[in-house]
Amino acid sequence: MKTLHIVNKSPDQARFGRCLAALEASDQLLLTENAVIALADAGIVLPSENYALAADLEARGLAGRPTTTVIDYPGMVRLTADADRIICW
Amino acid sequence: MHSQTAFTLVITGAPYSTQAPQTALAFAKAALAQGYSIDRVFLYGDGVHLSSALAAPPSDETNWPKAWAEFLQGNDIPAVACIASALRRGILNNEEQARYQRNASNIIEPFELLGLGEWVESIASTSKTLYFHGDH
Repeated sequence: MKTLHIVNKSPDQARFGRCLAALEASDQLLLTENAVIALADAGIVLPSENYALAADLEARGLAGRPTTTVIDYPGMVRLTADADRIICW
Repeated sequence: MHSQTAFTLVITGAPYSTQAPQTALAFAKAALAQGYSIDRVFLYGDGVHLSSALAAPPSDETNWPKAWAEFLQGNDIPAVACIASALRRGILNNEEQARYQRNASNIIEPFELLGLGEWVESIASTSKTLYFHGDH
């Protein structure tokens, strides 16, 4: 079953690492709040289907990565509504 | 419309020390705008600070308890602060003020103080539950 993981923790928080470790290859990852900082660290490998909240990127002056889909709050609603299962880290 | 999908939102991060109430409110507004419904909003742990009517932030900052209260009332969404979390953090309604003989009550309408049974019931009946946590 495909799972949507929503993480709001900064990459230096232990729970961010635990979230990445728990991901299956087919899972989706949504970065919110301080988790978007991960996009500025090329050393952090994200799953192929990864998303980031536009407002949180903008608030931190970050542009994201070409491989990341940047979404707004309505996009987050659609992602969560379509998910079979959601884990909020 | 997507009447089949309803959300329960659980906020565990406090206003002013975490972004949780802000992210949750933006999500909730976007969900309603797209025709989804929100069954209930729960405050748990430090999240109960969002139900204090006594928060007095500077006038150029958002008053998160007030912003949430207006959103909930305007859209008829039931909202619950976990009573066990709330009493420990000094969030009281009139009944608890009388019971514990404190000199004020401060819960902002429409939040109610209830036990976790309500939460379990809502999670069992709703199709999606989202948690808005703090930083730890």
